[in-house]
Amino acid sequence: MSLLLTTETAPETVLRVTDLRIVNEVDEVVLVDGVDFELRRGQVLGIVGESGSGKSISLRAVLGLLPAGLAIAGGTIELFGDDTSRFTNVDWNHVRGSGITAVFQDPGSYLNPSIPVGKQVAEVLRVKRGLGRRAAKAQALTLLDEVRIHDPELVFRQYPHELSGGMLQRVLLAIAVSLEPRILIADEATTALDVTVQAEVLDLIVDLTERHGLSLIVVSHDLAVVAQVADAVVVFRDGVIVERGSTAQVLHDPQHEYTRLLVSEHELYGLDRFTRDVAAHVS
Amino acid sequence: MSLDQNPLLDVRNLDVSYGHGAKRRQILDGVSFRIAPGEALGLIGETGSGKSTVARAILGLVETDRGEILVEDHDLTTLSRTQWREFRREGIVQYVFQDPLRSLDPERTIAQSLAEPLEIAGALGRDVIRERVAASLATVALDADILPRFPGEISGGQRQRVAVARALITNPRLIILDEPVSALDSANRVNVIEILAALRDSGATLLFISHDLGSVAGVTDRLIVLYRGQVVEEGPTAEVLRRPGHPYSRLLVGSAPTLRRGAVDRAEREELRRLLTEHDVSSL
Repeated sequence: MSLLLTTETAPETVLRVTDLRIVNEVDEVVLVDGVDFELRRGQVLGIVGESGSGKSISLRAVLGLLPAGLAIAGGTIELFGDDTSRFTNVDWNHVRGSGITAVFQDPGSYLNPSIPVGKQVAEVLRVKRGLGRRAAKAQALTLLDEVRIHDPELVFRQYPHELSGGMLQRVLLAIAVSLEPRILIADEATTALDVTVQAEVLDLIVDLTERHGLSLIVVSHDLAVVAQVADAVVVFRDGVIVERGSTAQVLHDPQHEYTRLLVSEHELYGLDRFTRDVAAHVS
Repeated sequence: MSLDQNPLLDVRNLDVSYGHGAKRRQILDGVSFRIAPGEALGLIGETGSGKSTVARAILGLVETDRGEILVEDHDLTTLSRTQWREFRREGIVQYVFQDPLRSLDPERTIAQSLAEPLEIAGALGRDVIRERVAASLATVALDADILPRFPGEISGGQRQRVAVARALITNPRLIILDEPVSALDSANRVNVIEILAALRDSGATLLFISHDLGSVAGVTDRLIVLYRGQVVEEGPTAEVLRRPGHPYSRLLVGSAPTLRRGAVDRAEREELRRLLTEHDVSSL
């Protein structure tokens, strides 16, 4: 379907982060120190790093949602060509949801525990897309079906505590795509899930990305999770980017000592030690 | 590692359930496995598999409905409270948990925490205790300058290494590791895994319980896979990872992220999921 839109030039850059610096205003500690990365239309970018490496805070800045006390002290963030430092609250309200959206590690905390989940999906459609009650419910059911919830009618009426972590993350993904955003950020979105559920939710994220023509940023502390889906990878360490490149390049020829450690953990002690020959055989 | 030897731990037909009457839920259903002296066994399972209950049963923290847990000559399921105290004091079995703060008293120095299991066992002089503390610290590659500090003053990775040192100090016959690296960052995870692998190579007997195949793969000789309270797969680690037999193990191995994609493709995973939802565990 994108054939008609394809041009000779490289796909447009939907997000460009240049020399970003984030400081804690209270103790003046520099949390992110001169970070550059960009996301092109249709691209899947993987961001790897430990907690505290600055990766999540950088993305919070991209979403215009830095926690209180943290501030951008330098650099620029451009979303769809616009410098976000000039955004008003109204601009942010418009761009968040329909331009850029995100799902995080703990889906339960983004839902109201005392309202059935279906109603919460429908509410977003009513408020942000101006749908009527009945249309919003019908659309919410379609979205729940799209995130492969087997019985949308049942889940529509259920409360967050009645659903597993995997189901809650599906509901959050339904909300995330409901406003037809152009960029999706999945920040440790599968980290808390069992590995068999993690694989399902990753598959779903990739499907949604392709179906809705999204550009995707997958953030994880686990290089292997990112390797499943990303075209390109950047590695954060202590507030700076220490490695960047195509996924194949980063996995096979890591330049930085820290990236080499991440790769060797899998190759020496992880599953890769055993499945290497099998995988080589398959591909 | 041969199984003809007398096993160090022999779990036979273990049933455990929680709740009563209509709320009764069976958590473990006929779980059997053995660990030979010097063997490192991995116990893998996801949420609801019952793996934590296995650990709790070996710790004497849950009542069992049926079955035996034999450690050397003791059947742990029949011990009285006094006998449990005695058994724990001997330090035959030691434990390392996911969160080292659970095994380290925040108000005691590292030196005090390390010496404690030996003091409980009794009958050792101060000098001997000091030597053993130094030796166990060396095993986990920590410097003696950590000894006067408190758990809150050292890093998470150092704390977990102290917890391992503390578990080693009584020269236990069996060390149970329950998610020992799950809360650590990559550098510390590699560090602790290397220590555990060295421990395995030096002949220690380990039961490594985890949801994460990746952390267990490099440390264990043999794996068992627990699914909905039953052992569905058992074999040498390399065999289980390369050629898992049960549909659940195939799904588990096929879902675990690796640096190379597509060891098991998506269509196959979906087929396995369908199989698992439509059939009884024991019929597969």
